[in-house]
Amino acid sequence: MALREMREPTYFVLASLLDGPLHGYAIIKRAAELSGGRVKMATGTLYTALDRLSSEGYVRLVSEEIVNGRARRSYGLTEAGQDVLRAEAARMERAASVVTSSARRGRPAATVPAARPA
Amino acid sequence: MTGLERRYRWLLRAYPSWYRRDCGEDMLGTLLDREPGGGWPAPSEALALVTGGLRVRSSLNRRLSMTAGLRLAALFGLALAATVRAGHLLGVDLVFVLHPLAARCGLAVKRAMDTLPAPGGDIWGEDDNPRRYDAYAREYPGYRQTSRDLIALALPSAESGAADAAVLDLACGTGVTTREILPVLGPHSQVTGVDQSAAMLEVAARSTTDPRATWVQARAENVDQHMTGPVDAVICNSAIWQTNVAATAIAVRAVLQTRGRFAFNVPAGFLDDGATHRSRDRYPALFSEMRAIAARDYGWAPDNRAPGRTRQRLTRESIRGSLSAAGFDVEQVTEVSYQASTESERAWLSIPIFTRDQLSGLPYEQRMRVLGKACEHLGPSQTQPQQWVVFIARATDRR
Repeated sequence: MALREMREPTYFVLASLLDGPLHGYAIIKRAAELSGGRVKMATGTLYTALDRLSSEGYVRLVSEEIVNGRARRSYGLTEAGQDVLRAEAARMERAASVVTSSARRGRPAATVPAARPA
Repeated sequence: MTGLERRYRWLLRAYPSWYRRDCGEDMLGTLLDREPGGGWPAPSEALALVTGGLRVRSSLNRRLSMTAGLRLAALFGLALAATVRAGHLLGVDLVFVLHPLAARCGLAVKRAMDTLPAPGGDIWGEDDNPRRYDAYAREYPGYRQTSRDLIALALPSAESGAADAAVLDLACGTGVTTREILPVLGPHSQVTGVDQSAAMLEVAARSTTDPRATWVQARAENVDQHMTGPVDAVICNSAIWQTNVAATAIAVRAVLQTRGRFAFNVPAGFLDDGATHRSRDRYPALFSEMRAIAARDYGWAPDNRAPGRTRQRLTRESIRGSLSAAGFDVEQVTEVSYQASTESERAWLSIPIFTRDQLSGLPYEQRMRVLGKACEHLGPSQTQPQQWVVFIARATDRR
């Protein structure tokens, strides 16, 4: 179980695989969709992340097929990957609740006056 | 082949050949899917490929930020991407105009990266590890027996007579296995010991004067870039799990003759496949006792801020898969049991590196006092037969 905070691209790469294995381009598209367009991964960055996540046991190579004469690999989430993703989601939920529960109680947010321009 | 594909293929050269063989086509497919009608690589893609390639070459594919290598890689990538983009705006295919210059720059960067210490430094070189490790292997026969078992399986012909052969001892450490290989080979043989620790190799070179042995400092995953010719067999004793097994298998296949054997072993407890008791510690009861004694006697507490060492999850099937993907047929996967005396286990754990992570922050002398008390408390019953899984794979024509 990861104790460190997970970076946003890593979170969305893992989340993109929740519904089943995907190939590289589909992971990039799905991560962008899920993040509302915030996570736009370059291909080299994606494969660096996949290498790291594979070595940590969170992602595994599921299949390899030939498409247009070229090997295309699909990657899937391992059980450990699902666990770490859920743990991160719970951590963020707890962090968010600090703010949302305060708002529910009707307490006004403390604000700092904007700096006056010189 | 389109111009875009040609340019992406060129940029993928930032990755080492073993990596391109493994997943270069998959990456290329993803790159082309993203820009089906494009003529030029996006600068962000070019930069990510160059930095990604250099990360793999330097094995910095971890959460290591702002290291010298990455800064160098980022600068190189930015310069390359900006140059290519400038050429695009000017309507000139600078990728090919600049090819010789960029290749020289790439080589210079690679050489610079090669001189960087291994990630985390040479931890084997600390605390007198090499000398103690070598002394342990000489005094207790168990380690040498694991070497001899692998040699018999990788070089069955050598047992019937001293045949000449070229053998690679991968992750050779202080040369314990090399010293067992040399006597079974003919006079014109060659054994190359490869290890990433300069300190371990120094002890190996000092203690093995046989002219048939040579020593090379390299990571197992890059061994194909450091060998001058093919070998007949590769043996890796007690080390493969410390490497990226998939990458190591590809590099080994690249240096091994077709039909040559690759023999290695893994402690059964390190495999996560349910066929064996799953344990992250080789001595769970003993380490647990040691942590309790350290806390009681020295007020020791685990340092939760220390970054844990991540280890790849290995199973028999994942290892088989890596071997098959690299072009091997798996001939044997067998379990072997070795009985070690309590004294031998205690001597093994007296090698500083093996208790360093278990009791991080505690000085060596105190760790050894804790070890002594834990052994006395648990008595000889804590000594269990050590189960190892031995893999023998044969190189095929299939790549």
